[in-house]
Amino acid sequence: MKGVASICFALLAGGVAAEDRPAWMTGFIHDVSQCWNITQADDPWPVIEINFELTREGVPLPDSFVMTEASAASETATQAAFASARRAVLRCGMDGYDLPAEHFELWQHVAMTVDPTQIVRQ
Amino acid sequence: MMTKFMTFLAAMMIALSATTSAQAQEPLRLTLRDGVIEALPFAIPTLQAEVAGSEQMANDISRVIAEDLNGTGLFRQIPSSAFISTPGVFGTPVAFADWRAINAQALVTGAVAVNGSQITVKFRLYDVFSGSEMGEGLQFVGTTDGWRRMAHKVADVVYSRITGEAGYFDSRIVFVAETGPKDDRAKRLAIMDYDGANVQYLTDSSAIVLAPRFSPNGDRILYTSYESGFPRINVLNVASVTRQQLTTSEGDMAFSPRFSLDGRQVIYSLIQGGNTDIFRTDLATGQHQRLTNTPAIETAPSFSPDGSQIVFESDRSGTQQLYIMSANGGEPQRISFGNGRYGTPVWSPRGDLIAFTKQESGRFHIGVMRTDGTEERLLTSSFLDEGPTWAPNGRVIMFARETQGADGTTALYSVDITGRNLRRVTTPQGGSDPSWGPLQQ
Repeated sequence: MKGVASICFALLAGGVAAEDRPAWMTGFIHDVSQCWNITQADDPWPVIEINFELTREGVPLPDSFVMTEASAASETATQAAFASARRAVLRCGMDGYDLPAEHFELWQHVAMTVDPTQIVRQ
Repeated sequence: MMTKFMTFLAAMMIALSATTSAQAQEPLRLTLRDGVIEALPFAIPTLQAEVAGSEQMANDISRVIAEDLNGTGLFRQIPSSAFISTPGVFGTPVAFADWRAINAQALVTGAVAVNGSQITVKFRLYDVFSGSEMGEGLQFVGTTDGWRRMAHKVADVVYSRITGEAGYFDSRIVFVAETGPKDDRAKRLAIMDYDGANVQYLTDSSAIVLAPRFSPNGDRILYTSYESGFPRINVLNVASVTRQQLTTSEGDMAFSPRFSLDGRQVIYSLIQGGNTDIFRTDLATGQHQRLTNTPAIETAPSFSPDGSQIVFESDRSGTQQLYIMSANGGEPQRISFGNGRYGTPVWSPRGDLIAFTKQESGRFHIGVMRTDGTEERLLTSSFLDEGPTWAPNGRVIMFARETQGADGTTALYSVDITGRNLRRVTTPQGGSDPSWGPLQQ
């Protein structure tokens, strides 16, 4: 059952067209993207996965951030990528993300893949 | 129909996941692929003077750190007038809320102590929004006359910890300092900090000098001199400012030199019997090796960072284009195919890009391309831009720009490899032929 849940969430986040995602989920990603400042300059930029927790008010907990995966890159680049992603989530979530309280169990724990590889530098 | 089905599927999955998530404690999985590209706001309160009499030095070092970071275009200094509070004694807890309130994303604090001719600089870098320190605090000790280097070193660490790549501030440039009108221009070799400070002249203006190139560790400089009336290659020791002529065949004209990665060999162009080819000389043995042999003009060779290949320019196709060959010579492969003429290729320290000068439709450009010639990007455009050189981290390119007309002047500029942040490098006189040295040890 756990595997089924993972597949469903993965589909929700990445496999379903943006217009078919729940609005709150699209809004959440959009909000974080507004604060993700891509000063990260290493080329190729590492893809990382961060895990963090949110309060019921949608405020990210600073001490909950961990990096669970990283593509091949230097230690400095990987740490910088982690700091950049964490900064984005924290900065835009200072007042709490607009997330549905009734689905708190859905978004209390977040695993966010941070993938800058499609961003064109120019 | 398909949209309705997908909506239904999504709704089903939400319901299913809501149930199963609670049971299995699965996290919500999202992918972030978009962001913003803007200068990161940072605050650097003036470093504290830990010893009486250190105040001026603390001010100067703080200013240079800020100038270094601002100059990259990746950072934006928040003016001190916006500060809500100032840090307490160095190392004491930081009031992060005060810095968040002014949207400072990074905070640099530090302290300076001057004791006689010795200076100690301590600093810490904070991620304001996570309320944590980025890396450990560091301390540098040096002499007061090297205070700018210490500021550059601090800025290099800050840059590296935030961007994830090495800095380039504690580095030097060798270039040709130019004075006088175009038709009677005096040229001297000069060396300076990357930001144009601390200019020192290495030669007088009695002979024309061209194309200086740093050795990989910065201890020597190759350059072309017309002291004898013909182009010859000299090797200059930076510390002693003594020079030695590179041995080539008598009567031959040699120019456009560049060191190998280990600094033991030099590649260059040699004119023999009216034909220009690329050669390599071992500095220890004086042994020469011919690397090209065609009736074309082959010049401007540059090693790949691993030393296995050489990129150079040649007009063997009828127009000036870029080619790559093995470091031991052999059949080269053409990599430039766009309109116009390509020259002065330089391999990036990262190995991924080649910078070049391109002339097309009466305009000159500095550009970069992948080593297979794809993804060509022109970064600049002017009456005359030429002679790119890479910063040690491969992120910034410096080059020379000359303005039009008899009164035209030459100056050095830098530009990010994205084409952003074009800046003039301030030098006392005109400048051309820059060569960016390595990070200093």
